[in-house]
Amino acid sequence: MASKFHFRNGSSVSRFAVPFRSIIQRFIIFFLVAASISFMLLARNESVFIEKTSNFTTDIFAPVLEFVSRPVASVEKIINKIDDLSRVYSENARLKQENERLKGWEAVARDLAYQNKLLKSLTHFSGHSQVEQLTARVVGDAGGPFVRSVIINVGSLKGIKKNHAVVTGDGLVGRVISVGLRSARILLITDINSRIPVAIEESRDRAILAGNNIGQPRLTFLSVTAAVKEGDRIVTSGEGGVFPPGLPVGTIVNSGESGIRISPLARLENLEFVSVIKRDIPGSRGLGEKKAATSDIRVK
Amino acid sequence: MRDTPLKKFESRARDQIPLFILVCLTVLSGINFYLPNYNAVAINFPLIGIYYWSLHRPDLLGPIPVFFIGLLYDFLIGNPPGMSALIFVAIQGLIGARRKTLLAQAFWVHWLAFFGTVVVASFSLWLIGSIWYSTLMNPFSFLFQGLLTLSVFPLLVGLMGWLRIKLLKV
Repeated sequence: MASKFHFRNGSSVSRFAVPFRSIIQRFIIFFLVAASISFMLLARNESVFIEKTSNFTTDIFAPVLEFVSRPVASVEKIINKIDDLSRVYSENARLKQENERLKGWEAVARDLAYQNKLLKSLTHFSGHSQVEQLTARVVGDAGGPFVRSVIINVGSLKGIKKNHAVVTGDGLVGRVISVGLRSARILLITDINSRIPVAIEESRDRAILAGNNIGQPRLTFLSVTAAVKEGDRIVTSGEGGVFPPGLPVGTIVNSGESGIRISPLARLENLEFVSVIKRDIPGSRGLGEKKAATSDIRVK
Repeated sequence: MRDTPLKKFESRARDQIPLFILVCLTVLSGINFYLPNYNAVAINFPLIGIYYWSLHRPDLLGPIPVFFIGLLYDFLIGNPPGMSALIFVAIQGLIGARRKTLLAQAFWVHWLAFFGTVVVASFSLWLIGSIWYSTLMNPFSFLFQGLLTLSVFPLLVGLMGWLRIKLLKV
């Protein structure tokens, strides 16, 4: 009877309810901590559920990111235009010089193209499969110490697939790691998970370009006999079939004791538009696609 | 006098303001500000929001929305999913435990408390990240991210304080 009386009293109810609520609250926090850890473990095991949820979320938020990032991009464009105006005379002189130099290269290129065509016809060379490029806008540029990735506004509806290479006019940007219907995530070549088979353009020595989350990825697995010097250009080797061969990647900026570092040719900090190279990747269909896509993104 | 349905709707909508602000802060984390080297040390905007609303209106921001904000942040940024959710829920729990002590303090005490929050969050993220990637991650990125987050704290707290008074009236 006494307990009933106490429960009818407002203060007594709150005396019981407050600790009870606190216990529930603590239980929820423990439950959510456990759920977070479960999410991490599932993601570590490349769970399809996590991947689909992530793609679905990115699909929903990609238009929002696009809408929000446009004013910022406009401001950046204005700043760049002012910067360009201030350098217009020196830039003009430099471009004239470059034009003269390129005219010489044009003659060489025409000659080589003719020779190439002739040799191909002589050897009945079938050539590389035809590639199609799709231009996409960068709508999300993830920041933080963990990842170097961007979100673009095209997805599987436009034929984007995992592992498609992504470039700008300057050079390689990265590759597609996840695809939603209307958005896709690009893993940049500077990301700690990125491993790209490359070759030194001049000597054709093969190596693996390993991202390290800072601006200058490292060349690894380069033959000890390989001769490298600062300024050498690095291109994709085409090994593994994920990246087409010959895509410009970067130039060697440091080849000291601490390893060989590369400065990417593409301006990864200011990506606004990129081109996705839509190309069938050998052995990347069905289940194999998932395996091919994920096996090389883990840090070994 | 009983509230009209419109009043009830308005009241419910107002209650969602902290969550809406947190979603906005999360989206803000996903855009490019075109600042040199910014991406490596991008500000953790939701952390500021979680600190603020957990302190001032915990009744409007429970651990479940915070968990989902963490997941959204991870999905948009590309972090290992669940990592920020874990940190955000833990940080909210910690702030909840110190709420009564902190509420009546001056702004610089709040800033100092947020400094502690940033240290805990950054160290936890660095530790989990290093385990996740099986390599020691560069601690300087975490350090500079923390410092940047700390530097925009007064501005964002001022803005959220103004919104709280204008829209929530408390």
